[in-house]
Amino acid sequence: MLGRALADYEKDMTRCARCSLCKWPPLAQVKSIRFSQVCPAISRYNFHAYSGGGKMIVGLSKLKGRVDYSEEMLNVIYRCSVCGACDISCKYSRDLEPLEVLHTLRATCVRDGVAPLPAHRPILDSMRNYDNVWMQPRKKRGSWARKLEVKDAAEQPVDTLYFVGCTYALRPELSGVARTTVRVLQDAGVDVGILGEEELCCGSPAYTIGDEELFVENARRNIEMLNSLGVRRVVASCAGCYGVLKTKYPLVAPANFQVLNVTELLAELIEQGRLVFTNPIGRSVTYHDPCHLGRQSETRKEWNGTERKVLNHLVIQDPPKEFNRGTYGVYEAPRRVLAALPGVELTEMERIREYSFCCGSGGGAKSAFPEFALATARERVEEAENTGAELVATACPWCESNISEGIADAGSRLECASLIELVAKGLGGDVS
Amino acid sequence: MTTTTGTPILRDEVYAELAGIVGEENATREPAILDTYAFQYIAEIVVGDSYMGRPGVVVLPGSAEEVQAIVRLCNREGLKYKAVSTGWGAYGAAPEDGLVQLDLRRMNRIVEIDTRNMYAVVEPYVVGTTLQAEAMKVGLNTHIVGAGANTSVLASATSVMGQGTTGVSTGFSNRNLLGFEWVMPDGELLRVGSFEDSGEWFTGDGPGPSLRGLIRGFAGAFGGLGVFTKCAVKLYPWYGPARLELRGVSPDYDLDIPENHAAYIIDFPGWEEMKDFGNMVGEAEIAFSMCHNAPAPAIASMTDSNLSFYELWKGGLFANMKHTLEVVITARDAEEFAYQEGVLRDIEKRCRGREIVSSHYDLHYFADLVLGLARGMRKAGLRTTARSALPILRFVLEALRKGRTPDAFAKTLYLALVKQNLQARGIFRFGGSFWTSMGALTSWDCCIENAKEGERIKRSWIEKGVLMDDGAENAWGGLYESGCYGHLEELAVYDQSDPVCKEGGIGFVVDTVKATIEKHLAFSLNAVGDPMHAAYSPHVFYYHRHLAGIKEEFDPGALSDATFYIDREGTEEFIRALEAGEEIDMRL
Repeated sequence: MLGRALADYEKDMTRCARCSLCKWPPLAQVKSIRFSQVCPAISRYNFHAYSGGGKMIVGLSKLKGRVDYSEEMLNVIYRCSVCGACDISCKYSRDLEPLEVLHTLRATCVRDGVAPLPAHRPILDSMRNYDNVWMQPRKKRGSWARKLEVKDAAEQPVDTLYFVGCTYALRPELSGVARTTVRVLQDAGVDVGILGEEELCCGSPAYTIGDEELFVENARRNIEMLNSLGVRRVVASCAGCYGVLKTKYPLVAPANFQVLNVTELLAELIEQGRLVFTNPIGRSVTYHDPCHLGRQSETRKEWNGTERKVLNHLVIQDPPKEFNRGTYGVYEAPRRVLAALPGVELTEMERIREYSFCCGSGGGAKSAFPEFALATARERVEEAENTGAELVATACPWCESNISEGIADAGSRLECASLIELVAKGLGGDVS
Repeated sequence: MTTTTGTPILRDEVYAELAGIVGEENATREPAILDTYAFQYIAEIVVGDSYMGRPGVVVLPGSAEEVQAIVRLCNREGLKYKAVSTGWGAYGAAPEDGLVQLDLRRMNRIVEIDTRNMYAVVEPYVVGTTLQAEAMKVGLNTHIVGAGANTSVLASATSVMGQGTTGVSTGFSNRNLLGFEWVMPDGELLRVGSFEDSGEWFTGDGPGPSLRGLIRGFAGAFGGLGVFTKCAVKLYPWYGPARLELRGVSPDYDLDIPENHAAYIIDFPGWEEMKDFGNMVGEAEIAFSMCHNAPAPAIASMTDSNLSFYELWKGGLFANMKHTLEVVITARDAEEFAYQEGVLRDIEKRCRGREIVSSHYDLHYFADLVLGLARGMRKAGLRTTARSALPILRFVLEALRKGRTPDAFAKTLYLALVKQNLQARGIFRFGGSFWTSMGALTSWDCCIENAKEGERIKRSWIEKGVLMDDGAENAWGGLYESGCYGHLEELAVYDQSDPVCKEGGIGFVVDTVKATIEKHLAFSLNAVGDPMHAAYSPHVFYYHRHLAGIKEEFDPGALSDATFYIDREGTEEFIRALEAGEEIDMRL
């Protein structure tokens, strides 16, 4: 939700039972002691404050004036990838909103002028000055597609807009994924276009860091532009962009287009027989669910109702509120794609789907606390290694990048690849 | 220098020393972090606010040696200290500010699972769910306390009460303790039980010293007798797969109940029949799990939100589901399963029980159910019969709509009873918090009397608007060790954010304590802390003197926080007041 204050969540925060369920996957899904934790922050820093429930208490203490800002308190709030695993585990049982509290805590810090953290300021400044998070001139945003023959959606009508995102567009080591995506979609007969230099940052980093004003400004500009294109659908291959386009934009303004992740479109194309694989991959693979493609990809509906008590103290919401419990995230589409690829043997990790363990990159953690982000990635790498797989497939540039660093740091033999690269290989093509 | 409550303020050099023991990153004095140890559920009943006292420092020791060093430092400096494992509930904190809080989260290893002797050695932060996951891989299982699989195995075995739903076949935590490693209140390390002599933990009673009764007794010392850093608990056979594979996405998990396992809810015409059934099934030794769960938490466990619970509940259809027992049987093979189920059905018949939920939801079962309903209608009338069957049918129809099978209720029940994963859903979700009362470990017959009395008292507090109207009957508990005894505690749901509950909740507790004394309903599980000891002790051989003697002998400086254990002077002062006919404040 946007524009909320901690006071709006006072009852949620007070009703935390401090049960610690936010630290584990939903208990019925715990498969071993080794991979039994679900929250990267508490796993690394151990004090209760670092858990989802702990941050609810920090929020309550701030609201009640029991504590004031300090460097250590900001560490508690920002040494967190905002992955939302705590939210899923809590909501398996409760009607509370830990993730919204966490976001509101960050938004409050920004409103109060104690955040963003110094490490986050250049990112937000870059968004303001260059419309991307990588401090690159606007002109460079279209460079990734220079050698591609692809429609310019700003100039001619297209059915499907491919929203590339800052990272695939501006990080040379990852932009091959964007080119491959366009080629694969074109091969399948999708009428696809891009925005090139005109594309703007989706605004996700501003949202996760807590700068709601900047996020809303970005979102409005994007929605206005995308609405004006008249495209039927917008496809994103960055999970961060997808998550924010799908789940947060509806909080800002109505959109006249459908939002899809590329894995959803690929699964559809495979089922329609428009992508036929001829080239065996010959790899054992495990799949990492990106948080913003999985549990955080449910469309959030603005709820402005009131709490009502019946039976004296049974708390219900009026009008009824739909809680985002991670049930309808994109979990199956990437797995259907992997299942269709010849010669791919998929072995699942222990923490998957809605209770997947985060790669550690999100929520500004990578920029402000790189050691924490790397430790989280290494934990995920160890879990992937435990499956015996040779390759970790994923569908997010941030995950791919951070897991790859984790692999290098651990000296692991694992490889990490984008799902689209495997698709391209399966089609017999090369990865550009 | 002291805090406003008289606790010494932690000097910088002492903090530095503590940080030196555990490492800089494992010690903190940051108020925002300290507050997350002060905020505790039921604090609003215990001290009238969501926060207990704020510790002066939190440290995260990683070994028994570090715990020893911390405790010795506290003794040298005269600092109060308290250890927590998962730290759930006001018991993990103290009412006053400034204590040294040991968070044992980093001590999280399963040291050993001995399959031959069927025990596990665990550190404090190993929880029910993690020990069970590892034990099941080798054909064993652990008892998990009713609080849930997110709680520490060691804490319930060494320091608090530890009853759970599988008690009929696995005993309970108090009884499963085989030995322990103990940093005593002065910092000395003691290993109790066979480990000290043989290096194996197969018994807590020697040839080394046996102090099990002394360190925990009935209720445990709640951190008032030093710190337990390791313990061995007995494990039990598990006749299921190494892992229960689930399908679906939260909050609707589905599974196939393993072959030769089954789950049932059996409904009885009244308490008497339910009592007889419990005693007979216990004696027959056929159940893996058997417990009474009142309609409100049972239905809450099966629904994914308060609203969906309310939709089912508001029709008032549950009146006839009051006297139920939830049973799981787990057999090694088909022959044993047939025997167990045959015995169960025979006892069921003798006690006029009816399976309202069963793993056997097939056409045959539905035919039986329809016939049963028809018979019920003839005998009890349409309205009464519908009350008992419609909620379940409605749940089944909803499950079918979601693509699950007709036995969805039984599957969720099975999962909840085996994995102990739904406590928060079944009790905390309603209003946010709950208090428990009554709950003596006593004969099953006396347990039933506890349940009846608990219901009666609770009804009056529901009428005052202090507690949630859960139908008043909300006893939870089961039978232990083949039904030799059991416990039924009365759960009372409230909203901790509501001043009416915060102020009124203690009244319900006081009434139940008085009732257990006046009506001879045995020793309530609320017998914790000085005011409660004062209420009970004069009726039970002034037991507080023995407890106080233990405390004084092992902890003459009274530094291991005894808020929820015993203080001789405090308790005797309360006793004198009670004997003078004065009302005492039962809060701490």
